[in-house]
Amino acid sequence: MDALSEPAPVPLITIEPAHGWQELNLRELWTFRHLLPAMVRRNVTRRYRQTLLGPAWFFISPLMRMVGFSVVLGRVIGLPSDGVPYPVFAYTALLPWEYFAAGVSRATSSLVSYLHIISKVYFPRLLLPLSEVVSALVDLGLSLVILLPMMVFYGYGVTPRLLVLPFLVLLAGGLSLGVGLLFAALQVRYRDVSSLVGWLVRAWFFATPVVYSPSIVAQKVPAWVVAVYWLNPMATVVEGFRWALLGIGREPDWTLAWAFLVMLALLTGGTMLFQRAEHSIVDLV
Amino acid sequence: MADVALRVDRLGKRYRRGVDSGRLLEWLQGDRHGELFWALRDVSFTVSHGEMLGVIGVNGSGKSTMLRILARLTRPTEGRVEIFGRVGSLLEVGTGFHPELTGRENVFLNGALLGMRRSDIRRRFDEIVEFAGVGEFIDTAIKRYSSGMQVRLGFAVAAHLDQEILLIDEVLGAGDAAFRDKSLRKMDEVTSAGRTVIVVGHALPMMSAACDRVLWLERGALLGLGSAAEITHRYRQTVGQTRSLDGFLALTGSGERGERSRIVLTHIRLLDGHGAPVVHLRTGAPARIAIGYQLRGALGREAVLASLSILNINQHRVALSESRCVPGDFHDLPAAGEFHCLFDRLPLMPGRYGLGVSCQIGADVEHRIPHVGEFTVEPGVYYPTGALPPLGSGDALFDYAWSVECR
Repeated sequence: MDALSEPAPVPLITIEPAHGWQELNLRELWTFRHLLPAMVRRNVTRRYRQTLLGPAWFFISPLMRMVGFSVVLGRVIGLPSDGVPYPVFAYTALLPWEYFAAGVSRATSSLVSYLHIISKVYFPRLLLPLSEVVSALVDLGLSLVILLPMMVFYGYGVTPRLLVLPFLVLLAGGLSLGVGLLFAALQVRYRDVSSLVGWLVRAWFFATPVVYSPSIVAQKVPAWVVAVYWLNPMATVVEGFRWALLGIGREPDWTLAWAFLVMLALLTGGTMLFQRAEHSIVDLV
Repeated sequence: MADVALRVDRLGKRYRRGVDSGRLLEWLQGDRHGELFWALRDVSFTVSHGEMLGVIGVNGSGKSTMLRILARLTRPTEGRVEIFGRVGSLLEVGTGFHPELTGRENVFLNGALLGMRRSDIRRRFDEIVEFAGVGEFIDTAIKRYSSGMQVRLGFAVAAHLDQEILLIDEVLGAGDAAFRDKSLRKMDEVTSAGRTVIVVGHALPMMSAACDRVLWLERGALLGLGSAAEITHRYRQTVGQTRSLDGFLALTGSGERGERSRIVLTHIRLLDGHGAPVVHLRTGAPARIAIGYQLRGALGREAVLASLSILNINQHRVALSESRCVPGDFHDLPAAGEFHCLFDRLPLMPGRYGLGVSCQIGADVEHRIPHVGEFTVEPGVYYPTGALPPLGSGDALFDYAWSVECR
């Protein structure tokens, strides 16, 4: 065998000390693509097996919340709902919001809650928060199923505006993943981050027009505050949902482009920070 | 050298000792404590395709750290590893198994975690189920499986991995013996198919039987790399298993020692009355317990004292043998040597005993190891009749006589 004529073999894997920011290894993500559906299936199955009501839980949680908000905020307090029955008004916004909030909190704790797996086998860790956000999508899909009879009941029809929905869902998912990645990275080192996230998500909920109409905001604060208010990308997503489903809310405009930019920035920053932190998790615990 | 499967070059991993509180506030204040230490340092070796390499070492030798680095669970602090092929790592049986999922679902999840493609799993699924022997239970949630069935299912997936390079933690060997044999045979098939296996652990018989070469780590450094027979032999001689004396025990780095201690205890040996090494001692037989030492500095005029304490299996001290009582305070020691504690007739009942050793100069304790390890005393003849009190009626034997007197 003539060793000289053969090119030196290229290593398939190189293990080196971690130096700062890591490149996103898309080729590797692709080789592990089969893991994503397996993880999603595990997450979803785990959540409803051995529960009394099984998959019904997916419906019950947003439904209960809608009823609660409708009674307290719609009936008792009488918040305006832009001329739409309050239950529909709240539910259409709760869908993307719950998706976003669930994605953020589950993605944040994904590294820590899967520690027993992380410490035993290698795979691109990015798949963990990603699988959490994707499994939250299953909840969203099922909640949409309830929305259909509600829409029919209240007399809303199918319009071409619905075509915006997938894009809005993607936007909410991207935002959720971006924020989740950032906090998952911090969570590796600091366990108190999870309570910080809970607090942040709650505050964010009130900064987003989920249970109230943005028209109230416009009445009460100066114009520049309203402009700042719309920098919240989730406000755009939530109002976009109302626009697509009910024909009220904010028509897609510059805020959508802005929300998209915010999503890209969060995803980029989140991925960078996450990849910087992920390799130290096994050492720290 | 054309068929190198894995090349490890000057690999090192440094850890911070102590517990990180993990609080954001303390980090912001720049509060980082804990001394740094190297769990692995300057380790280099290569493994060829189709070779089976064993990695041995006592706990804390760095073998788990190395396994974690090779499995990419953690990054090294320095050095580099190049791997020419796909790697499958088996550090645990059934990683990711979830009790609520069925056997089938778990096979797919576990397989995917171990890097198998869905199509591969589907293709080999029947084989896996057959190998695991779980039969019709495959669509039952695995919480209904016996623990043996769960292990078998996990093993079955592992045995059907198709990566070129496999990293295996020896703890996998747990499980019922018949199934382990089946798995070992499967492992043999794996290596004979030209695949590379690196197995980490301390089951020496398995290592010397199955591995082509063995790598020996001690306190983070490479102590030896060679044929399985040679290294396991050397390893057995110095280390022994489970801190059992079995004739010899190295004392590297253990025990309490002053900053500037002038004498370091190095090993323990069990000897018979003629000074020949033995694995066990015998009740009533002549015996010696040898404590190896090395001088680290000049000794003054003060006497050197050695002592040996014997503990029973409940960790209660049976006796303390001090050289000064005999007397035996030593002056002008050679730079390295052994203290010998001699027994004409070993006054211990048959059983397991623990050993503690210490050495002092004057009143200063130079090196003290309260629990060195265990050794076995076999039944023998202590009294003229050859009889012994029943087991459990005390640990020590002593000389006495009985008589009847008229009053």
